[in-house]
Amino acid sequence: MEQVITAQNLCLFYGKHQALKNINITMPRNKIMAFVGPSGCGKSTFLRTLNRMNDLIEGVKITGQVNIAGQDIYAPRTDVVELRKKVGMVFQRPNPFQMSIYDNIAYGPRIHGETKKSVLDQLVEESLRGAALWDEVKDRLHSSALGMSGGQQQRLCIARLLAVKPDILLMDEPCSALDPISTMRVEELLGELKDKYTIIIVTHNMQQAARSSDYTAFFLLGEMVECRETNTMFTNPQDKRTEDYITGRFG
Amino acid sequence: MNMSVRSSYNQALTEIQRQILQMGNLVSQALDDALAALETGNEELAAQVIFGDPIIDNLQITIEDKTVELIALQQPIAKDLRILSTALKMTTDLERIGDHAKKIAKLVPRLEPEPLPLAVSSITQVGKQDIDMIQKVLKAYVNLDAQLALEVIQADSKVDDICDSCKRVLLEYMLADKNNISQGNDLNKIIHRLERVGDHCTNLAEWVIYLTTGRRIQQMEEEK
Repeated sequence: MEQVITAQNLCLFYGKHQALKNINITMPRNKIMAFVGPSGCGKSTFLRTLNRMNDLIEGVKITGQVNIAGQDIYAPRTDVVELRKKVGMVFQRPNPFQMSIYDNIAYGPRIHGETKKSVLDQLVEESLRGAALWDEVKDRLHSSALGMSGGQQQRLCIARLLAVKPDILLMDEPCSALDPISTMRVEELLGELKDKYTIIIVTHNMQQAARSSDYTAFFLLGEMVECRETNTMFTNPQDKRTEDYITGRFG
Repeated sequence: MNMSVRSSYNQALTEIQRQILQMGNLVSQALDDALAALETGNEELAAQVIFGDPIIDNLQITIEDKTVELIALQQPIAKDLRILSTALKMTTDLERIGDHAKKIAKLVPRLEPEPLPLAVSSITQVGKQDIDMIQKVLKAYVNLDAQLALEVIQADSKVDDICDSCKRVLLEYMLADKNNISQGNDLNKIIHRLERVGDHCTNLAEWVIYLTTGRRIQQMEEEK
């Protein structure tokens, strides 16, 4: 199986505080990996190292290596804009821009220089279809994205990512602000998207990790304690700390 | 996390394990009594075994209902899920052992006042072996001892061997005189039931291994 992401001896410091301790992990292409662990365990921090979002935080120091598709993303010559195009991110709360549904999707391609209407039209449709949203919004593409439901807004944010043709989708608790039905739609969507993309999802919902991911990694106090196939992780975890956490005995 | 919800869940899991153990001790006692009744021709003791069987059956239902409820309400995973899934499987095997004890007890009034001594001694021998297996597998369950469970599985071949030789003796006994057929047939049924008890103990031991290690015995053997 092709490993698309490899982190080696990755450490991250916020000033003097070490938030990630020697993370070593590989992630296979076209699979969904879930990161679980209690708040403050480093899972979101690690997720953000994968598209260098932590660069934006002052006082952050990173050592070790992250390779994505064979490239060391912390090498000095890395084009961070290009990296974030390839490794897109969806956040906890849907954050559509205050513009029409169409313009939300077309925003990325336009920034990257696409101006042709026919190309943009096609990209908008493809992306909305990819995010299982097309049928719900095709008749109101030019109305405000803010009028959509929370679940639709989150899928719009996913569609907005797809429009810039990423390889990897990072999702930081993408369903925590959604109701159960919208959550189910997003989880179904993940299953469809993994044919084309590698997906990493941070979640506090154990059932969500169990239902929707192929692999699960458990983080605790900045360490990656255990990473294995999800079905094994949830029936027979090897580390007692993992067992205690996923069965709700601490955290 | 709501600690009171979690602690009542923990208590419920412990209670299920306790009830499995209780059920195990009941079937072990039932088998022991059935064999004693057989050996001594004690019809009263045999009747006790028969009337006691619904208690075992009810316990099975109680355990299964509680297990299903916990699966639905608590969404157990990892070891918790193994405790509950093995509980569902183990109650089935335990209930079957209880049934075999009952069926053996039912044959007691039908047997001749002095049944074939050689067969009775084999029956006693197999019965002791079965009860030993039940006790060991219960101990393995309580202590999460996969090694002890493995010993139970290995002991089953001894049960099978004694049963096979006893069946040959009974066949000769029946061939010698057609008047022996009725009793020979009954003794044969008992031997067959005791052999099945050994098989259920093997199943129980396999579930203890799964509960303890998260792995199937077959999987472990393939890897060897």
